Amino acid sequence: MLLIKLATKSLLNRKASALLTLFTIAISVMLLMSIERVRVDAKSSFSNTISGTDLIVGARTGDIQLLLSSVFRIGHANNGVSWKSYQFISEQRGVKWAIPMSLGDSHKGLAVLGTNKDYFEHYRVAKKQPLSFLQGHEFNHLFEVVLGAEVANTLGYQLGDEVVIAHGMGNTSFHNHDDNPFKVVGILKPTGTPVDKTLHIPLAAIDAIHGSHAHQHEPAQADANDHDHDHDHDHDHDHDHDQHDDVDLVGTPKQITAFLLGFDSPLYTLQVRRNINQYKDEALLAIMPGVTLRELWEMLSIVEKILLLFSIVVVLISLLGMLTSLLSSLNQRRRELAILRSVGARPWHIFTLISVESLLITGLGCIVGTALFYALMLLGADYLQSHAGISLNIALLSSYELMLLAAIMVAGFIVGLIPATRAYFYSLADGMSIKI
Amino acid sequence: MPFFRKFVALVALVVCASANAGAPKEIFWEDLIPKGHVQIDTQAQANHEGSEQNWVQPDLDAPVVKELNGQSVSIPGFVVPLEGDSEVITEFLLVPYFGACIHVPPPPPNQIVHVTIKDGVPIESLYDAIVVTGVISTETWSGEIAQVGYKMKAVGVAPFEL
Repeated sequence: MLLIKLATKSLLNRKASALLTLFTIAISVMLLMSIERVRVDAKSSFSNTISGTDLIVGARTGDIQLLLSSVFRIGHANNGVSWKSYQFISEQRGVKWAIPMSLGDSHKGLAVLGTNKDYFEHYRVAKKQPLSFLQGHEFNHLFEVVLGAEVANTLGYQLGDEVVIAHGMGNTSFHNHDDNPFKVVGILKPTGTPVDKTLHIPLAAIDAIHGSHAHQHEPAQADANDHDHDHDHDHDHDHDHDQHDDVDLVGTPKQITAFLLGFDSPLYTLQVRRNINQYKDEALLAIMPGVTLRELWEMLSIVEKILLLFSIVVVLISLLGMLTSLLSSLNQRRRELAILRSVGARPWHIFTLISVESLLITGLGCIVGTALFYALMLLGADYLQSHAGISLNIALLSSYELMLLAAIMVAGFIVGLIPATRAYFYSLADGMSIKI
Repeated sequence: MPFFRKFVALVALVVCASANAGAPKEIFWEDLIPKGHVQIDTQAQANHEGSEQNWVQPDLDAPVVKELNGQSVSIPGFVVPLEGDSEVITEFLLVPYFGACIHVPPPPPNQIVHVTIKDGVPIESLYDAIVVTGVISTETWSGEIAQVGYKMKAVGVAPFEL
């Protein structure tokens, strides 16, 4: 105890250099922990994005590109799937459900997804959790939209608000479909996946906002007070047509971006996948999300390893910094050590004193570093969520992170042994006859 | 960490094996085909792909060995992951040869085992063969087509060693 007290006092006497060393270690600890946390969370938020889907089918491209564009909304698909192929495949025996997906439109930079009602029933995130509604319900009419949690949050939309969909992706569009505002009827619970950043509209509405449908019912409304018999007939006709569209939320688009398939049994997956990949009428690609995610990890594992390597090197550099400052202070402290010897300290007391100092610096560095790490996480979580789609998990330290901290402490202790040994031999040789 | 998990999986395997009094029966893929049944050559059936007959699965009536139901077995094979997170796989298809899903026609239903494992296992590489131990069941599921296949609740997974 006495030695710890002495070490603390001695450190306080050299506040400036001790504090600087401490902060170097703290910052390196923060860096290492942040990189590791982001790495782990990025991985888990990726693999939590899709679950319970047996196959993803799109136009022929790369496996990973199809996965990224259809589910993660990263990049874009270069081609679509014809509606005919979708219908043929989704009607095969053994297909339990099929979810068509049409991407490519946006609202204030957020993706708009045209789909059917099966999406809300069969789409699964993280370990087969279904989507659930925070407020409202799924769309039942053509111009209705269901918002992801983050869309509602960042844009401040409420149930009943009207939303305008823009053509194309990105924040700015020169062509807004102003004439067809969508009414917000549902808001989904947050999932920590790209679903949160998506506006879901009926598949038929995608066609409606692009196609000829829009100008069909306008004249009917404009001339509503016209009592011409012929025109009344027209009006009725148009009205019927509208009602028909309200019921049919899928419509018959020419093509869709991709679709998801679920089977009665996972045993069908392999065969159907092969059949789709060899489909004669259209060049299609079917991927199994689980397999493709694995391939993605294998590709990214080298980047992961480099990141980890860099943060370890940063920690090593900071520990070397501590070594330098301890070693250089030893010369200045010869007198201090000699006085300690003169009042009865044995060489191994001196040895312990220096080791305790290095342990104190590393320990405090770890504590301050962890505090900084949490501060950074709190500040950065929103940014990462909105810009990279990575949901950070601001939880207690995981066993892995505790292990990292322990490793840093051990490394700090080992590094501290070097000046401690130096001091041990100094104190034997120097005695009190030192001249400065 | 993966090493640690692997170790735990191995320990679980050993513990379960000893708890069941007697090691699980080691079986191979031939044992999953009933004796006397002539299996359609998966290479040969590649010719009529796309036809209505085998869009979903070749050799739909590929029978299973009913006696295996409920037995504790261990079987080697390759993994086609279905579900899992970044660390572990909780649900996968076990197939007799690597690449069963890509280069050659997939195996018939009685040559695929649908494995679920409660806490999941870390699988480093899909190229490595593994040995799965668990209770196998021959189950019928209610789809449009009444279909029988092998399902397994696994208790342990170990790397395959010759």
